[in-house]
Amino acid sequence: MKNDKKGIFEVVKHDGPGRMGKIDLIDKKILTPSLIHAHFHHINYNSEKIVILNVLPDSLEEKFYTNVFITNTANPFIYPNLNQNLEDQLTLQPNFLTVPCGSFVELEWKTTQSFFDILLKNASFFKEMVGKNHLAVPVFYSKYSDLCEKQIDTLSQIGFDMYILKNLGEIMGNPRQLVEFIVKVRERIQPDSLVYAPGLIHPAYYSHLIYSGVDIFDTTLMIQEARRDSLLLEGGSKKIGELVELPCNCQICEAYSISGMVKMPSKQRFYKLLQHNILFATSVLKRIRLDIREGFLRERVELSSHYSPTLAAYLRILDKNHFNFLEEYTQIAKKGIVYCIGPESYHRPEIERFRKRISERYTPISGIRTVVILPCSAKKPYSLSQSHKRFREVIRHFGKGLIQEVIISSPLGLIPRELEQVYPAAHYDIPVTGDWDQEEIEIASASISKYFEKLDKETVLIAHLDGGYREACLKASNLSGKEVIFTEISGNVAGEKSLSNLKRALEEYADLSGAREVSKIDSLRKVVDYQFGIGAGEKLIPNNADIKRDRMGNVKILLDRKLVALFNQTYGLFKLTLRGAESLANFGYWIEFDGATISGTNLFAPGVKDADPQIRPEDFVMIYNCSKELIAMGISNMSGLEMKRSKKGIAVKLTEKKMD
Amino acid sequence: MIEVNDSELADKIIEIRRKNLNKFRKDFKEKPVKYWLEKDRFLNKIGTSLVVILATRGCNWALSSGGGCSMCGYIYDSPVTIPDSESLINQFDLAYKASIPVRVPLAIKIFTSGSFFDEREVPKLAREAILKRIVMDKRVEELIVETRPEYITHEILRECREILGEIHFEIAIGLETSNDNIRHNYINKGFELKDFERAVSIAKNTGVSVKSYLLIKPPFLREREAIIDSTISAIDSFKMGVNSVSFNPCTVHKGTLVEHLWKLGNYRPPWLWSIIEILKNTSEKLNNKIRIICSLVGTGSKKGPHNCGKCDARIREQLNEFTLTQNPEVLSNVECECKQEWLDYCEAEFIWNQITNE
Repeated sequence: MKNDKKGIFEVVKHDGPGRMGKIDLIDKKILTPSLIHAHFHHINYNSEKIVILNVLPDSLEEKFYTNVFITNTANPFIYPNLNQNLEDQLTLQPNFLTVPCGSFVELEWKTTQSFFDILLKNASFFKEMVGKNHLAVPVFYSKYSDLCEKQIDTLSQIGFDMYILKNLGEIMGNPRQLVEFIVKVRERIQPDSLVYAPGLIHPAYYSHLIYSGVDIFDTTLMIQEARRDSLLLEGGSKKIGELVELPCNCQICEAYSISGMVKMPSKQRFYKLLQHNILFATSVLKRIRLDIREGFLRERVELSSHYSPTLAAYLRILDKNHFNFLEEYTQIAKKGIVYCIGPESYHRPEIERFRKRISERYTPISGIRTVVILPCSAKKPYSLSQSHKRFREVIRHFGKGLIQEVIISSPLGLIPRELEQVYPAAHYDIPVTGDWDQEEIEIASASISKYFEKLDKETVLIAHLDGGYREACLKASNLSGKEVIFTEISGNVAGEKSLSNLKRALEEYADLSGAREVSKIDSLRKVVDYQFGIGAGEKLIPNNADIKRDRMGNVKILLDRKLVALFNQTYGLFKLTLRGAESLANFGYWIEFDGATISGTNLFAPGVKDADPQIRPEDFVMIYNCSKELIAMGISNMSGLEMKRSKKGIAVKLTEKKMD
Repeated sequence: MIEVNDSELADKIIEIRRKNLNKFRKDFKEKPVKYWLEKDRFLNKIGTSLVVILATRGCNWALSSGGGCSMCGYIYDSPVTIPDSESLINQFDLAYKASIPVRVPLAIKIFTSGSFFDEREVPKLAREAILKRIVMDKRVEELIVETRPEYITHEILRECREILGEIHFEIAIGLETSNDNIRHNYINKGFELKDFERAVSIAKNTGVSVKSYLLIKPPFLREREAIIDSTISAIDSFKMGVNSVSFNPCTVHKGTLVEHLWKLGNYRPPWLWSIIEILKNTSEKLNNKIRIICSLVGTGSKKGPHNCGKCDARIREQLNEFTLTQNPEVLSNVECECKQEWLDYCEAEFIWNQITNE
């Protein structure tokens, strides 16, 4: 559904559903997520119109302002003349025209329905009359979920550039309703539409709301708190009279003392407090933009969850009910470490996705007769750790490639040795204490038992584990009905005594008689399967492929001396060449380009005719032209559905193009 | 006149009404609901009014299947047993005694919390008897009675006019707003502007004055919208030939839809600043061409029109002063810190769509 209208907003980078982007206004560009200034005409100067929302400048001086849009959208009962409303708005020339809606107090199903009817009628009218302009539309929370959903659906079908979330005040204290409403809106509207959450929203909520796809906030709360003589702080606000020292290093807190502030005339104090409050909120947003650039938004959200039970509940509900929504926009890999500090990390989308892929895309190497189950290590990949070096020394003793090693970790679950380098198995960090909580045991045992079920009946399972690892494995054994032999651990798992117990157990139970030696190729195929789907490994790495390492130690796969794929340790992914992509022709991760050849180094969203819905940001993707020929390779910047539906922004950063 | 109510609100109002009618209504005690004397604005001077609220059967609109108005709880003042003509005359006589010490000029205002001209409430016999008593008193210069427009006929007004002779006779009609949409969808008033206009023209033809009651801040309206609505309604009233407008800032009555909204945090009675702004606007625009009255009830409480609490009493005095003197200057030197907060509130309401009850 791409029309000719130029997009006004461009997603630059995703971090989960949260995104950093640019709004292209007439005279400037604004970075999102951002704070816009609620223009109260008695606080700022010149306007005769009631409320105009302006871009927040670094100073409060009006000359830096730009009209973004008008929110005094008239009550349709009082001003039923839509043409007049439209004309009034056009004379102000805001960047967005806003569909008028008035206010709405929820009463009965019937009153809500008739209110929504008027809203939808007005929305269609605006789209029809001024569809060429950029349009904003209010979308209302309603406790009647059928009406609410229908409203969202209809508005998103009409299609707007910005959606203003209204009546949030009703649900700010109710995390379940808040999550469901915001996600519902974000899921159904066009991915490159902006979402604006107006009103009294504390900056502590910003990271959560941004992570759910909100792009814009405003300064209403800052004004209200300043009027009440309050300064905004991390988790709340404090009246100036209750403080002993000013709480931060902003220019206001630096320049004034408490007593100086108290003595000020109230109007002057209001402006000083307002400035602090706005500076505070913008600094929170700057931090969040930095987090998105670096891929640490999720960590910020988990941190902020500790500000209040509401926020903690918000994240839990989001993780529990909306994995698909989060996962679709979560990058396949990122530079840096995935921190899993507390229970709020157990279900983060990267981790959940790993467990899901192990269960869906991993099949044990055929011919395996014996599996040794080992605990994880702090050092990644595991095989570089001291403990694993020792384990392997014992295991290799029975023959190279004859015994399958798998590792148990929380919260990843089960990691086959061949996949220890994929993202995020080699890229996560947890506080290792050996104490597991019930939920960790639950998660790990589910993952382990799914693996057990894939093994041949006769496969011998030997677990060299203690503490929570042992408990999780025991539970998995019960769940799957597979018998597991537990070695005796005395002291340290990697201590000499324990190791000799492991050796004895292997001598006694390992089935090496019919075991086939597992080759390097077998292992690498599993990594390819993990990345592209079952069967991709055999296609990409035929038996005659050469495996080499480059100077950095990265694995290279060559075919007829030509590079097919290169494993990138930093991202834990295979990077394909065009040559490699050709052999993966039917394995998904395709994009259909709306043309014959691509010029430049990027593929932009408007050029994407269709795309594989399983594409995620940072995936390696194959680009086909309109005559179904492979023309380029690249790294995606969006999810498949998103690039298909967006009108603006980079869809793929090209890594290689076909030369004619 | 809309007999069968098709307002979206009606169901909710009827539901609340049904629940409370038996709960709140009391037995008849052979006296008016209330009566008192007050200093008041006459056509061109200041005098004293005797205000009588007769206990009658109650407003027919509130008792009907239409449900009554969203902000009105006066129906609960009407007794369970229906007072007859004799009892109504006795009620009036009882209240009238209170006016004996008053010197000229005297005005009498008769309210029923319904319609004085609805003969189910005030039978013809009682009406005529009361009017005849009033005309006997030479102190009385003005008589004001309240009624819905549908009960106003040439016949009744001519009759009254004949009995009353020289007395300035004014009928007060609760127009509430000149906007049909607001009156229909937010107030559930049950009549339209054209019904009011018809009543005004009958009054003009029979030499009777009309006062329009205007509701400041009906439910569902935002503060700024309410200011605009009331200002426009006053000007419209003037254009229709009304002689006085009386602003009634909305208060939260027990057992009403407004109370339901108020409890949910979805209604705040108007700020006194808004009332000041409306009075300033209208007196500037109408420039002493008609009488502008503001009758305050429950000022300063959370359920009535209020500001921050510190300035409420002071501002109420000034508002009353304006009503008596009709001089807008008395409103110009009112100040309080909460004025900024009110300005914020008016703006923030548009953005947040959420009301704080404080």
